[in-house]
Amino acid sequence: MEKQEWSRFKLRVNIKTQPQEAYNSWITPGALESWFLRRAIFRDQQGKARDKNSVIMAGDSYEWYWHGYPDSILEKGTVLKANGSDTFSFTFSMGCPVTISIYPESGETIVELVESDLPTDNDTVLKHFVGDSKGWIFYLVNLKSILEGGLDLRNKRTELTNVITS
Amino acid sequence: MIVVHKLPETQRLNLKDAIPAHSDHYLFTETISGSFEYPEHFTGLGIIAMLRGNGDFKINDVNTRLDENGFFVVNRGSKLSIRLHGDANIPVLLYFNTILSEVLTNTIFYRNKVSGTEAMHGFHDFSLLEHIHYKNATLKNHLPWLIDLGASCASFHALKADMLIRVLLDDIIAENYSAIAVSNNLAVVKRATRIALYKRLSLAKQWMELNYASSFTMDQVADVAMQNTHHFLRLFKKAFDITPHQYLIDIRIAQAKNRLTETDQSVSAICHAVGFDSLSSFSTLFKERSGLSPTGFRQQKRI
Repeated sequence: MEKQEWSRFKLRVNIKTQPQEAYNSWITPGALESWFLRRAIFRDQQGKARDKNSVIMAGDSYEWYWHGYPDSILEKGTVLKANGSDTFSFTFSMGCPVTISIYPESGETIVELVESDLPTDNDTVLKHFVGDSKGWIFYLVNLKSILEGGLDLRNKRTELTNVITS
Repeated sequence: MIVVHKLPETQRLNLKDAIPAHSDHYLFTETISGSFEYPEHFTGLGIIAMLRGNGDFKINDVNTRLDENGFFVVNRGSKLSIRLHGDANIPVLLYFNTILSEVLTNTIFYRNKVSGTEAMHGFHDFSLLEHIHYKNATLKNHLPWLIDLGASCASFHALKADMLIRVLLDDIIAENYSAIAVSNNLAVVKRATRIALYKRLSLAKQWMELNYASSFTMDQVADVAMQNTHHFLRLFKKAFDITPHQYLIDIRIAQAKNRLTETDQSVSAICHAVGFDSLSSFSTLFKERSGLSPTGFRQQKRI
């Protein structure tokens, strides 16, 4: 049996939609807020904030806020790549690159997420490998739910905690 | 992982070589009823607080009682012991990742060195912050979130906890930077004396921030700092580049601005609520600092 690779993980979700529609769910602040984030702020390399429908570009910086949590909990990072059709990449969780690849398979669209360069020391491997993959699994499922049926599964109430939906 | 840990089991520790280096952030908390003692041990850089109840903490041979209203910053390598009495006390010990805190500290201090300011020394020493801190709503809000996230199944719970801890750590490092700059103004050579003096002045400053709405004299503030009034007034100005009286006025005016913006209280009511005796003095001082009368300020904010 192959040794477990702890420095990266890959998740794939199948969605009954066109690849371009799946890609479009990632590339504007407004789109990300529709299934993933409470607030998505992207700034271009001059520091100017993009509006909700403005396409995100490589080199943009971001601030992400989640439903169910106060503004003091925010993630910051950088957009690494956005090719306009099938690849979107950004830094996440201590600067680890996350790459989104979108392609057709068996009549549906696959959204593939790979998080890599994870630290593999014993003390933090669980935090990144397990913690991040758990989070992405829920949000990829929510993306599928929204694109296929319009149902947003996220918990948006701060008084309800310790749930996988936020 | 920022998992919520119970307080480690008590054991006899060799104090000579037990200064911890934490490879991650660690949060220890537990609901404790009845008498409880935790023996003296070395701490990492962190925060000690009581989420509920109160406790007696001995930090480097100084006894401090903590309740829900304050928290204590501890330096890495300080000695701590804990005694609790009563029911349902919840102590919280948060120790920061040692390497991360050193990297962030270096970043802030060397950035300022590069920008032309004189290099500061001893910036990995947080002794100046080792006293009770009050009036920090941020921390009081953060700790319940951290404890919740530490035992949570929520999405990205460890990452979110890290984000919150980073906010706390950044605040502490920034405050330490400021404290070192201020304490250098005292121009006291002996380190222990400089630290003690800074802590007394900080205590007085915090006391004014907590009691700004009350009527008190600078003699009373000097008592809080455990100094005679003349020395206190001179040292406060030397350290913070502002007299205590002016500092108090600034606090009161800032509070008045908040109330003018966020409430419909009359100007007269706000004047007395923030500690001024005289409406005309309040109005004059307000205009000196903001360029507008209290009414004009309110109108401008509400346009």
